[in-house]
Amino acid sequence: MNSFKMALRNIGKSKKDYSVYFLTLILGVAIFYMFNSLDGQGAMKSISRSTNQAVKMLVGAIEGVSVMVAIVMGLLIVYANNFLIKRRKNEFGLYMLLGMGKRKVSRILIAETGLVGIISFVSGAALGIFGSQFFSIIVAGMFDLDLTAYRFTFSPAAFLKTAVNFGVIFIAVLVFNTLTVSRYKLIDLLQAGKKEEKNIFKNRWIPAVVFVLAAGFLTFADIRICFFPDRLSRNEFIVCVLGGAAAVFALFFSMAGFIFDILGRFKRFYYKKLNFFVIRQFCRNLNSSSLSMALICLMLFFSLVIFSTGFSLRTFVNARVGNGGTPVDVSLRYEGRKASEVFRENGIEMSKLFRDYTEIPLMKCPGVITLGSLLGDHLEEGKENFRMADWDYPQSVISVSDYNLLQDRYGRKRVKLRGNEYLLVCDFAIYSQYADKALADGNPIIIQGKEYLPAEEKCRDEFVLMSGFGANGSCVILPDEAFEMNPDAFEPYAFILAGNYVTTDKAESYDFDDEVKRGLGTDPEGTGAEMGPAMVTTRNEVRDSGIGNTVMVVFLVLYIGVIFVISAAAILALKVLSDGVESVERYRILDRMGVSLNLQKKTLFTQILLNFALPLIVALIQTLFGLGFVRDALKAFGLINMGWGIAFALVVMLILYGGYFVTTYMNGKRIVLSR
Amino acid sequence: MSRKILEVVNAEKYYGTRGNVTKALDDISFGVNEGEFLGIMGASGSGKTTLLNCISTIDRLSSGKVLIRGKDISELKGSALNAFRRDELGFIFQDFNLLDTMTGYENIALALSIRNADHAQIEEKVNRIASTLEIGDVLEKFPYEMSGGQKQRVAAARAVVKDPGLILADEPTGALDSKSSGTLMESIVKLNREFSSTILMVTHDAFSASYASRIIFIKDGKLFTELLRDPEKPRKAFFEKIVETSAVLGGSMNELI
Repeated sequence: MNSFKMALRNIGKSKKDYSVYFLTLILGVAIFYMFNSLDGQGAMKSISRSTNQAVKMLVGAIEGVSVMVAIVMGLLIVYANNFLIKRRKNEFGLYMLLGMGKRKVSRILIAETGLVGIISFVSGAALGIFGSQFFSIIVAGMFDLDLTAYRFTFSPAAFLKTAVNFGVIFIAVLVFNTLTVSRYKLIDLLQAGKKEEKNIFKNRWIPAVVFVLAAGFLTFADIRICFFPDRLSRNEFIVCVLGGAAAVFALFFSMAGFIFDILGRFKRFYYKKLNFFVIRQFCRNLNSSSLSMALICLMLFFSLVIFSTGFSLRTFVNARVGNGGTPVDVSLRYEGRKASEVFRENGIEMSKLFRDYTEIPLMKCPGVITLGSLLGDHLEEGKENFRMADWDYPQSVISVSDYNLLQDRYGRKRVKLRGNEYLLVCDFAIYSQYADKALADGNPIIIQGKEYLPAEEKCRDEFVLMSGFGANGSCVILPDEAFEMNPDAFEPYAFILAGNYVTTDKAESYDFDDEVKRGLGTDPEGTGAEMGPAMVTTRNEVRDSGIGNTVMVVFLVLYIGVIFVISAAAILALKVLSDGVESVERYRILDRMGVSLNLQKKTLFTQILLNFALPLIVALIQTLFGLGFVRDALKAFGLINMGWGIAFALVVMLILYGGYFVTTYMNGKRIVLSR
Repeated sequence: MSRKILEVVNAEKYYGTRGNVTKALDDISFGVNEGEFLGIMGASGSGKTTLLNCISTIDRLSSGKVLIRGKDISELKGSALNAFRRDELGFIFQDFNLLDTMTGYENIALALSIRNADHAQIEEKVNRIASTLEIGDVLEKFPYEMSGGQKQRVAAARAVVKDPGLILADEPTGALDSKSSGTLMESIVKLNREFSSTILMVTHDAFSASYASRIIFIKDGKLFTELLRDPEKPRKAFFEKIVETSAVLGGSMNELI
């Protein structure tokens, strides 16, 4: 029989042993292809030109991340392969005992690795190619993208890249295998699996002390980061994060001893049925692999946090750039004079450009209505948060009738003010949180002796210019009489123009965007960073940059998160399975003692479940606190509802991690209980 | 005549298919009385392990019956079989079969906990058996910290602690040196006397066999002969008789046929 045939038969025989290996390889190849083919995908193509920049950046970022992913996948595959080889040491020993040379054994192994590689590459690539179509549809759905131009796409570049990448990994595995086999001694191969056990719980106090210290520090760091992030200095933050990671390692290092010590005290529970068998097994495994368990826990934690955050950001941006956030085609502010006059001077007729528009004046009230004055008694709190702010900077003021014109244009409800009232409009949450307090206190604005009180207890979460990020400055709405009574208290500042183009065609509207900018003397290709009198935000820009940025964040998050989950789950699965191989003999003894197969199954299930659940539970607890911090850090963009993000993270986790759990259990049951 | 715990009636076991049948057990019948210590001897391949496997429900007879306390064990299935193995049989194996992850105490306790005994009961029984077998000092140790003899005595304690109807010992001294073998056999005899345990031991070692009260010899799947120990005479005399019989069994018989 030649090596190839033998390899084929071996794979057939041990295809269940290969299941975790196959699963990891196929998922790895598929995901690698899917993300690297992003630029050619339908959804991406429909994101319009101003987003191209973002897509280019995304592709660049994915290429960068792919290097990391390739390394991780490479290590993972070598690790998984190592598990398979270990499991078959006896078999190789037998070949050699029967007189087969090492060269021939290597050849069988090479043929096997090659075959497995090809099979999984082909299935992975197929999954990736079809998956990427599906992926496009999901992305389009997520961001309301237009998929009319959609068609089945195949990216040869991504395919080639995937092929080269995994080819290199397989060659590494081949070399590794050959080296391993050539170094084997026959006696080691035949006696593989027979080894002495060591007592791991010599000392009862060290684990208990380490555990309590680690858990204590972790709790401290969690509470610190989650509930008091404002008072956290940069150094303290680093201490909390790095210390927290170290504490997780310490926690897992001491956990086995600690859990065992505690459970051992509950004799009724401990000596019930097979409980102490499970506890001993679990604690022993945990102890021998605390390092990888801690690593798995941290990886799960990172993926949970980035999943939840990334997807919350999506919900948030969609809300901001959706119809509520972009009610008109263009909004602009021109300092000093009317924009419509500037257009006319530059030879552009308003009616050629705009189907309809509204133009209102923006005023200032220097020394009275400033960034600082609107915070009233809460200015000091604000100062702690914004050290760089110019608190004397005058804020915009609009009369109520002008503001209502804008409300009509933006499709929002008109506002009403009595003669002695004012309104504050602000969608910049990190500022408005203090302003809200001042409004609730009834912080007055006094203009030449006349007092105006807040009409509402909170800032209105509305904007004057579209921004998409809720980062508008504040704006005060005063009754019309205020301006009539004290004309000299106000200075004209700028004009706001908001309107819709003549065209309703999306492609044409980009030309109108350029025309508007040119008409006001700004460079349409410019970044907007250069300060001129005109500040233009268009619906296209707000949507595209919002979508572009979020798509980028979401994709990177998905890519890294999924790879992390897969790596963590695969390492865990392999670890559990190799522990399973070791406990075959133990289950055989249980069987001989008359333990029913059902109870054996249940015991094995509990054992595997514990292995999978423990790092996940620790990770979930950490995530809960971590998200508290993230939520706080993102407050600058408004309060985010993280529910969907968390739900999404849990679903992804359930599918990938749960999938690995099921595969591991099925496989483990077969290894351990088939006699 | 005391009650019979085990009865083997016309036991036969074939391996292979039509035209090429090997008889591992060929019409074997014998009985074990309650409280008896029976040895089964025979060369390798004589069928003694097959016999033990069939009695211990690991294997099934091709024809014939195994009755334990008058109950035909071939009729047992599923959970009844598990319960039978758990409650009525205690095993002592050549390679100890202790769980390496558990201490001596826990290994013994496991035999009780799987029968839903509560921890107070477990503690009392384990300590009693441990003091009988003089393994009190290794209870907190793991198997890898024990000597072979200690391991086997822990295994014996595990087999006997649940008061099984029958203790099956498969070459219990096979992995032990001669001194530990002696200590272990003394322990087994002690169990036999003090706990009135019924013991069925398979061995090919004449020294170990000499501790039994009766020995049956098996050759090529057939019952060859039976030796009874005379309680009046020293063990050494029984040992010599066994050696003599083994010699006949092993060599000259073939020439006689």
